[in-house]
Amino acid sequence: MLLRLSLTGLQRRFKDYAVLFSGLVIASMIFYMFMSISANPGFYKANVSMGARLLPFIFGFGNVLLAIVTFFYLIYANSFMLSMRQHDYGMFLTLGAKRGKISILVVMETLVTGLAATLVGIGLGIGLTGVVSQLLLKQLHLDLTHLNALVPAAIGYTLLFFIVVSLLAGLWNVQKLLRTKLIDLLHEKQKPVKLIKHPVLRSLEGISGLVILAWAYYTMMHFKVEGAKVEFTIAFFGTLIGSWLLFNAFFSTLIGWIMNKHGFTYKGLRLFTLGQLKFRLNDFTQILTITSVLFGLALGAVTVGQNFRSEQQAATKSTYYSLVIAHPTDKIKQKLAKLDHAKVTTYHYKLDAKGTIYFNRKEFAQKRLYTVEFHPKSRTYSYLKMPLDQVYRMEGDSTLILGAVSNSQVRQQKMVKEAAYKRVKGQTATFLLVRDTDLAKDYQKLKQIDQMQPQTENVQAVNSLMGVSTYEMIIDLIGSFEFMGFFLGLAFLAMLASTLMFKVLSQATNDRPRYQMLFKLGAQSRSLKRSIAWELGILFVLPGLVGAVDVLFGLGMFKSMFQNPWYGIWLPFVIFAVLYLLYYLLTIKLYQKLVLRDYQTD
Amino acid sequence: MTKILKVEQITKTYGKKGQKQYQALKGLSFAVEEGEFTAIMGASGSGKTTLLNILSTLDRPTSGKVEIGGKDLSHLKNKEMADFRSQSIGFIFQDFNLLENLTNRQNIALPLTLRGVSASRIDKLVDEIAAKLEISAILDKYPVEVSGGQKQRIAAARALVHSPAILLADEPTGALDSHSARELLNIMTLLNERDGVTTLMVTHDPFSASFANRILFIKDGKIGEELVKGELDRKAFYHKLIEHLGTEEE
Ligand SMILES: Nc1ncnc2c1ncn2[C@@H]1O[C@H](COP(=O)(O)OP(=O)(O)OP(=O)(O)O)[C@@H](O)[C@H]1O
Ligand SMILES: [Mg+2]
Repeated sequence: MLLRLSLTGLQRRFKDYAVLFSGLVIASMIFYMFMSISANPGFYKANVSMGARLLPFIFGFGNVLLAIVTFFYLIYANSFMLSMRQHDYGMFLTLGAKRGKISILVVMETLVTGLAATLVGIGLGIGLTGVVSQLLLKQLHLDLTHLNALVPAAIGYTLLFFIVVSLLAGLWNVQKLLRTKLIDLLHEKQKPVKLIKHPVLRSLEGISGLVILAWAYYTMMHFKVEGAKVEFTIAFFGTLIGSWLLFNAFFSTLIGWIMNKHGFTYKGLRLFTLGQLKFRLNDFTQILTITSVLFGLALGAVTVGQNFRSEQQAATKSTYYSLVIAHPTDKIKQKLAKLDHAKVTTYHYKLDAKGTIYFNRKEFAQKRLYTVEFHPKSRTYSYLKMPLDQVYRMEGDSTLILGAVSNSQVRQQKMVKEAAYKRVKGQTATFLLVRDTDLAKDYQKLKQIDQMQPQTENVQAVNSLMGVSTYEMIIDLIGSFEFMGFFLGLAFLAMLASTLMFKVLSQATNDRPRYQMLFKLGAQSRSLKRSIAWELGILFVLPGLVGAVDVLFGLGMFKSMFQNPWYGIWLPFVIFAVLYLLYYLLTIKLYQKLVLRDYQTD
Repeated sequence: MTKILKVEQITKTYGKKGQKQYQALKGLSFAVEEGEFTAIMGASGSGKTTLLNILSTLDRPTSGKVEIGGKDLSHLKNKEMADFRSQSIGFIFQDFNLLENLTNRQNIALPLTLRGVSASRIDKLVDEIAAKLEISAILDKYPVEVSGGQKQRIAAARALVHSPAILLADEPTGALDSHSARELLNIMTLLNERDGVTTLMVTHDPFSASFANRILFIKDGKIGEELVKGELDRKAFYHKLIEHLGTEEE
């Protein structure tokens, strides 16, 4: 009986329910995708040898943040579900159902919804991970061989997390339901406002919020690696506390002040819009703070991820030679000749019958070998000629390069004067040192050329340290960071925006009577819609704005890492703004439908 | 005397065609003169709220004609109805219907801001009406900070601040204790007698109804009898009403 009632109830609110359900699907999908990467040990080993130490940390941090966001998301989504269904539950009670029975029903509904949505989400997640790893990674020149779409452990974690949180949310709803009087379940009432006591203290609170935030920003801009721990703590908690105070006191005080300017506010529904906003801000302090801080982190993640790309060019300067060709063929030479930016230097050697390789000192004196020097202060590289005595003794960096032509049959290598060299009886052979000044353009071709020579152990060893390999490794790493940044950033944004959305929508039942009243007072339904758009617009913009300012200052902490940490920041800003706008538009559409339902509209 | 409100043969049927329908109003007619204080009494479910919703343009009659201040409401578009509401009608509801997130002053100012009155004039009008209703001292408090009786006076101030053609009240004393109810009714009477505010009050409480000059009884969706105060004082009118209701019951 109850089950049937429950189903017909859901049927009636199908559209609202669909929004909730798809929200849950998206949340579990994102959660799964993230898990499928972070719970996949092969991923780290195979792809990011250099950043390997950093990545688990980033992913661990991301995991925690994502879990927090998802948790709040589920709680708010479910309280939206409760507010949607509370009238039905009230009806069941009047029909004689026991509260205990209804409690079970509530928990079951929440669990079944959560489970169904999670299963669909995982299914979509598997599909999308497949597509993403194909498309996105190729775009980023990445070869993430171990990025499987189907990761059993990830499925397990995702299911577990969502079931546990759904259960918690269900229990939360039950206790809220048990505490509500039957009459309040049946009748929509204005939510009683919590009045703001001690306006002076409030203003002080708001101002101290500003001061703390300013202090945090100052710390970020003067971030030094030495005092990093203390400074980071100040920056992080300062931003958190400052934002909280801002949302709890500053903005509402500001609005209260504006409301007293009758010349401005006594126009149409402005008074109402501001009043609504003032109290909503207080109600929403927690979620707005979390939204703004995580919004900042998400934007930061994307920007920093992107920033590694700007370092790419600089990082390729860490090597002088791009490639060593120990066993050149005519074909290889032809191919190299076609590369405009490649300078090829040819060296000769002789291999005698006893397995000794001879180099000609004169040749190395004429065509000097180069080595790289790093200047930590300016973070630049310069190229120096290797000292000749070192080369003659085949010491230092020259060991490696000259070793390329060696193999297991070679007993020893010698660098001799020209006269001695001429006397050596044996086959003359050549090897090539290639320096390419535009690796971004040529590295794929150089890689192919490298594959045309026999891949002896020595050849592989030397070339793994030359420009082409280094370049490849760096863009691999950059790609990983970029991928992580975008993934984390977009996932957070989607979660945050929809958490805010559901929080707003779950208030709709409480707000309805107010709009009804205004309607009775003669407000046009068009003005009511406009008032809603403004109110929610400001509600969405404020945390976005605070988060954006957080990022602008927060990136200052990366000044020692990047030349310009703000490089290309407009791109994530634009992407975020567009996505955020879409969520905002969806929210006002849904909210308007909920609060303005069954009025006469033109 | 001019008729400020004219209701001619209105009917109201709830429910869509083809579904279960219920006729709440069945050809109801009456009129209210300017400056009158009229009460409408009727049992629960007799159609009082339905009638008031139609008079206040929140709902449309299925058939029939309503005229307020010489304006025929049947041809108004929804948009024009909203404008009409904000200009010509004042409302008092049983449960106050104040916006809790605005101060009392702001609540009272709202109908004026909707009409685009200038800020300085709004301030003046709000202070004036507040003085009349003796609520000047609580203007800057929020509705939750004042008593039920005070809330209803705020609501009355909001209903009257824009000098509407008619004040409509649906069970205005329903949520008040007897002392606050009497206070409110006294003020409504005073406003009616001194300022000539035309008032139409719906109630099922004989005590409240006895403050009116004239009582209409609504029964089965139609206006039945009518009781006029005439030269009687309020107490005598009250007794006459009780007597009348007694004979009705038999
Ligand atoms: N929206 C509606 N849909 C269907 N029937 C309705 C609707 N509103 C009212 N009714 C019915 O119309 C009749 C008159 O209702 P109305 O609310 O006008 O009565 P009332 O006189 O105000 O009663 P009360 O004194 O209890 O407030 C009732 O039988 C009611 O059930
Ligand atoms: Mg009624």
